[in-house]
Amino acid sequence: MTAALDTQPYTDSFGRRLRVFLGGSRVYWLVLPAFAFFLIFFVVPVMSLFLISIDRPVAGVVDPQWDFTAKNFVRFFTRATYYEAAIRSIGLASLVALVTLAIGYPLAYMIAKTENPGRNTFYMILVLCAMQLDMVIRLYGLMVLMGDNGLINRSLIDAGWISDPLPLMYNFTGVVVGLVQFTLPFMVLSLIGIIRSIHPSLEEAARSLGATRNVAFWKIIFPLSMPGILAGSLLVFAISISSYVVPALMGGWKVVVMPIHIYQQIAEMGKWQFGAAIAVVLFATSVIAVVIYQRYAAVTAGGRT
Amino acid sequence: MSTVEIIELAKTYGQTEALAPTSLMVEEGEFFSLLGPSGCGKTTTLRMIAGFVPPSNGIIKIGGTDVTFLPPERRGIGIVFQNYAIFPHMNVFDNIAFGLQMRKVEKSEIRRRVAAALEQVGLAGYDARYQRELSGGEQQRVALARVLITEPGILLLDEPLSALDKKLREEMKYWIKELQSELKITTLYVTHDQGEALTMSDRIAVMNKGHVAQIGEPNEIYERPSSRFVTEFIGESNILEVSVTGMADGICDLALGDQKAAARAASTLSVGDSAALVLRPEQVLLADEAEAASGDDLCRLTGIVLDHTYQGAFVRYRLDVSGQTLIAEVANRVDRDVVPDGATVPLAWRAKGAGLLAE
Repeated sequence: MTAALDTQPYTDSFGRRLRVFLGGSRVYWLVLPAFAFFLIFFVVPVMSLFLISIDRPVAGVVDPQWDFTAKNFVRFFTRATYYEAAIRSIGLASLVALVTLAIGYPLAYMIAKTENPGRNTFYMILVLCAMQLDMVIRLYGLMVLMGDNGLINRSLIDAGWISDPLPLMYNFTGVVVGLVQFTLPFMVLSLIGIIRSIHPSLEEAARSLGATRNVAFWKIIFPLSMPGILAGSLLVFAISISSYVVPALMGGWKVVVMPIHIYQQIAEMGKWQFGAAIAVVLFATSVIAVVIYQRYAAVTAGGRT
Repeated sequence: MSTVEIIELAKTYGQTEALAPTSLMVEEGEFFSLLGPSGCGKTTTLRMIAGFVPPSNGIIKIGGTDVTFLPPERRGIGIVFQNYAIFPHMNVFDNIAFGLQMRKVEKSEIRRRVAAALEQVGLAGYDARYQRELSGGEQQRVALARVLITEPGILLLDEPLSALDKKLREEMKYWIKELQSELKITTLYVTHDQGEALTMSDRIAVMNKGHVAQIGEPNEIYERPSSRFVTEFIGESNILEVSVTGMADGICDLALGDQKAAARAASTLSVGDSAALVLRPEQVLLADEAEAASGDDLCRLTGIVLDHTYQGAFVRYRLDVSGQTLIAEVANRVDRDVVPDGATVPLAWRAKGAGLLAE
């Protein structure tokens, strides 16, 4: 295959080369609108953001001055308040991914194994339902539940089990709960497809060879769901690390993560260049996470691709 | 090696009866096939014996022990699936070693036995390969090695050849049968392919709509089908409307339209009954061959050739016999001329080679 591509003469038209690049499809032009949209509304703005991140910092100035410096990044990695935010962000996103996986896997497994089509649709609707409401509305719902005067604290105090309200909100716990609530459907949806694609005969073969239900799960089902686990946790990690609304509302600006800094630098202080630099670090963190996961995925997938 | 016995085993899904109460016994070392069209209950039966499906009723015994409520891992079975179910995240060695690892066999012993198993199935040196690097036939061999290494009391095979191409299927058919008779392992084989069942089995249970239609040795099933379903399902058959005119010495005299015919007697029939005559196409003698044949159980008729097709090893004729269509297959020999369409030809068959079914 590669050999065949190598023999393509370089005099090929752009259209032909694009076609080869897009997998040899004859209808390559069908992807052009999406390609153009992506280019104009994603690649260009992100690139310009990256560009100003290495520009001389001038408050209130957005346009590039073409005066390149590493100042913004030096500032980020030398001030504790910023690099600690990066560490906090990574820790928060990892924890959310872990919690979501722990509670999402059993749910996804149950839905995947439900054979009754009616019941299956019902479960799917329940999961998707959680994604229908706007996030801000859902977070206000969580505040009603978890605030100092919220349902949980009120009932516990009324029951006489505690005298002072538990600190459930405007702290790390609150942010984790908010993010788990938001990302759980993504995890479950990533897992359902993979678990469903594991042929039941694999588990049965393991059972017939002497594995108990438990052993068959850990030796067969779980390793084979690894692609879904990796995809799901990666998705959850990426959503969590870049979330601004949840740390803002559930953390009450007390849980300072990278997106909060970005917002403050840009919206409150007008330091576009520095805000952009934080954004670049955030983006790089996500990309590094993807790469590490990909490496790990290749190992766990055993010879599969 | 064990026996398998099912007693009044049944399975219903809601209103649907997947298997009506069925009893049968598979002897030690026997190659027993469950043969039938899809939805006949053969796979359900196998899966109940394996322990993957809880029965609605009845008892399953393996080697005389009641295993009805035992989980699959404690039944001492080995099963090969239609898709082979090779674990895709493990290489061939780990796949085959799986059963021994579950039994906590020592590592050096596992290595020795896996090597021996690979040797046995002709895949020495395949240890490090993964499922995606194996052909269908190789996966099949790995699946068998993985099962046989645990020395199961019974071997369950669920349509193991249906995913292979025709040539390989033929090859594997004989290979599996050879391996089975060498190991003398009790084998329960589920298939919808009558050819596989006839070639490989010691006995066959033909199943239809959740019931066992007939149990018998391959020649019994083929030559003396007990019902219209079995007749039509196994091989090709002429089924002709006849009426019984006389009975003597285990042979029935019949009227086929305005001609006389004969077949083996069936105990359920008496003179005057109408019946279905079952006659395999290869039992029909045609033209010269019909005239040359002799014997007191021979019945002679005439027919008109409607058309014929050349099939290589034989020529297939469609004949009109007193208004009913009869298919005859005549072996293709160099000294035998093809009978032209439209010709009136003598034909004959031996009463022993024809059966009767009550209508």
